[in-house]
Amino acid sequence: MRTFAELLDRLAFAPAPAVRVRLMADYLERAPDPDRGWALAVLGGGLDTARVRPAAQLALAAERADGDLLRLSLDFVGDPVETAALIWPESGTAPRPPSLAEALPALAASSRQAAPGLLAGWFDRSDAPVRLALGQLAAGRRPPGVTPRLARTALAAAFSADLGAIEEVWHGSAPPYGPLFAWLEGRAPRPDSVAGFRPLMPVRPLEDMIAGGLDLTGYRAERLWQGLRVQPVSEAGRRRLYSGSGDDISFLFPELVAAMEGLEGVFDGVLMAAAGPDGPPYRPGPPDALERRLGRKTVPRRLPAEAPVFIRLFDLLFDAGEDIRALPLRERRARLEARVAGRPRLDLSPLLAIDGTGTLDALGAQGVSVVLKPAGAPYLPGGPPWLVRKSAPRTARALLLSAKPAATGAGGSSYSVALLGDGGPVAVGDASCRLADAERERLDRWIRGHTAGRYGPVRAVEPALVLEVAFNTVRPAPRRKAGLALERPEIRAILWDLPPDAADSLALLAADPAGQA
Amino acid sequence: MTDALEDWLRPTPAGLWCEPGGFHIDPQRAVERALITHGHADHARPGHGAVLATPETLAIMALRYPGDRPAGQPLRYGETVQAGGVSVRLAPAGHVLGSAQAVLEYRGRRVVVSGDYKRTPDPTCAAFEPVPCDVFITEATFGLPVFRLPDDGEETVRLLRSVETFPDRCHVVGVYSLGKCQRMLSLLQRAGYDRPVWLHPALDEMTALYRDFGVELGETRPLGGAGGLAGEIVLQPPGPEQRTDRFAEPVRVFASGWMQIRAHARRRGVELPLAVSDHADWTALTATIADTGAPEIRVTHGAPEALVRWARGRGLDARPLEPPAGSGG
Repeated sequence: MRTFAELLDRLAFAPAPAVRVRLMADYLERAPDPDRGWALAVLGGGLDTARVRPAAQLALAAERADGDLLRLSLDFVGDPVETAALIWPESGTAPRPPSLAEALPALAASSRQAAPGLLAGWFDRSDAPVRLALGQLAAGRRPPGVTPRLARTALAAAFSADLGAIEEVWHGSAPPYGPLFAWLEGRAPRPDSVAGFRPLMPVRPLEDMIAGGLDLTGYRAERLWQGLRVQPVSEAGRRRLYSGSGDDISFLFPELVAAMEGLEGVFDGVLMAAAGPDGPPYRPGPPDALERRLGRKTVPRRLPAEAPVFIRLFDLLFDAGEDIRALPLRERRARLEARVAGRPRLDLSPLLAIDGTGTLDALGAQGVSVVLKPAGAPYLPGGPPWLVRKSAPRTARALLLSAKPAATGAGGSSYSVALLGDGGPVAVGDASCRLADAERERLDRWIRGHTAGRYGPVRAVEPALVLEVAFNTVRPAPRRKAGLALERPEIRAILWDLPPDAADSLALLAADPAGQA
Repeated sequence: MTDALEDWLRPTPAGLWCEPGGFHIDPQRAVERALITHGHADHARPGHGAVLATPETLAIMALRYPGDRPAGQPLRYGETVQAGGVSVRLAPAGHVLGSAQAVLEYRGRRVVVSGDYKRTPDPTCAAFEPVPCDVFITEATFGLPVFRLPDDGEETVRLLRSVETFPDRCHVVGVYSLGKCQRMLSLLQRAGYDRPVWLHPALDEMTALYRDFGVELGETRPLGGAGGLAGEIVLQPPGPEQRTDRFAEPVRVFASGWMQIRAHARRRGVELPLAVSDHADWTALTATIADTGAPEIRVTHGAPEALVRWARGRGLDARPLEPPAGSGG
């Protein structure tokens, strides 16, 4: 437990994904079985240990420490979990902390009534770093910036294995992953991969691949759908829905899992919000409607009807148990069409007629991004990739409203930007920053010098700086004051010399038909 | 009470004032005569007329304030001088090189002013010596029960393990120039680290002074304008001037007792916080109060409230050491 506690501590402060991968790989390489398996369960999101809330941990500490000293300490430390771990009385004897294999399954299996007693017993036997780690686990906190995918990436790095191969067997494995480690160490055959996640066909920007002229002969074109890339799998009676990053999200979309009934295969597609119940084919709703369905712990019974979704399919990897990834796209597509025709909650991504680059340019101008796929190519990562031709980004002159610094391990800073409404600036989105380091530093200096108010980590500034902001599309956002929001805004330049009233008006953007996706 | 402490030793805006002795202890502003417990800038200020301190502290002050020429009176640990009926002795405080507790006796009462101190063994300075007394005036930098610092050897191993895990990165350790720098050098040496440690120019002179006093610190190398330094350890002063961009994928390390609290480490933008301190933690503060056997406790420097409460809970007459109300600035 001690080395795992140290790992969690390092992860809490690790600034970049590559650092987190190295730290986790280092641990997984050295830690013994079955401890490392339970560690992997925690890191990979395969174990729910949230049993003792922070306030309950503080209450445990209150039974053992002077009330005033505890209060003063909490005021200083801020976090109840950390305070409880630090103020807990030392036993006076050498610590004998529980192993991961002792603590984690027991915690996960315990009831909310029994868990505090378990935790207190372990605290009594542990030193402060282990208490803090156990407290965090019992509070259900994951190390910041560690996604299940990143944990699997670390596993691959630890054993110089292929991430795709690990993902295929991952979802058939359970903590503490004995057979998985045995296979990775060459001690056992590959575990069963039925209904596992298969590596996705990668998508590359067209510009990276073809520098000169573009020959579209032999390519098929489809629209690039805005939504969540998913892999629906139905094999040998097991039905699962994976996100593009290989996480099992079946429980979030029970109606989609039900819709796979009777299908047998592995599919590739995009999950989107539906504008209404009618289909197939379905009409895509606004992209932010999908947010209601994601990041949940449970799915209320009425949610599927209130926020309907569907999957727009474009490929078939396994057909009734047969691996058809080596077949050319045109054959896979023909089989897909035969399988899916007329099934509820599923429809097909229509093929676009493309005559030449002129058509691409015309679509791009309308705000339509296109995926190009070689019709004769297999579905194999490493083969010819799919190419994306993004619609030309649009730009607006926007005012900077506020800045929020990057939290540890949670991407870059974000900058709230506004356009001019009738009564002054109105926020239209949170932009990321695509500036060179020197210019970004200049921007941050400006923000420090023009801070008008602070709200936690957020600095509001005087709306006086005009930015050039690029974005994909404009989407309706009824809950925003502006009534619309920019999709994926990025700060491209700072227009230092422009006065604030040189910012674009909201009306101009709202009236632009290309904005309607 | 006829001989209350406040009759002869009391806080004033300039600092702790010993009236019969005619001197201040660690005054915050320039005074005629000062007793200085140790060389940190919040205790040793320039501009005093005369300074009584250990020879080490006088040397540190001369290094820090080259233009300052007070009449220095060296007093070794254990030696006694008389000042206006007050007998003054210095006892080792274990904080940094030359750090001392002031042991004052007047009319049969003994008061110990701890200055900053720690109980953790540290080969770079003389070990703290508990002195039985009637009144113990203690610091309380880490005067909260959440501060129970880990073993400094284990913290050093964490640093070395990180160097092993990230051989392609440079570990840049933020350290104060007086004390923490030399403590880390000594800890690294004791942990068996046998590579030279790179020293920022701002740390050179103080480290040389330690060596002049015979402290063994292992091999160091001047950083100069060097960059990169993958796999190496660099010691550098903390603060906003701690630029790390010239080093190979720097791991920002900071060695301080505050690093035990995550929010502090986050605020500092540290990747590897090391809870290594030259101050007494809660365990040492409470143990030392017991060791002195003093029935009266005064608490200063830091967070007095919790320690005062703890001491009162043990039947001691404990109070924060505060300047008299309305005394102004």
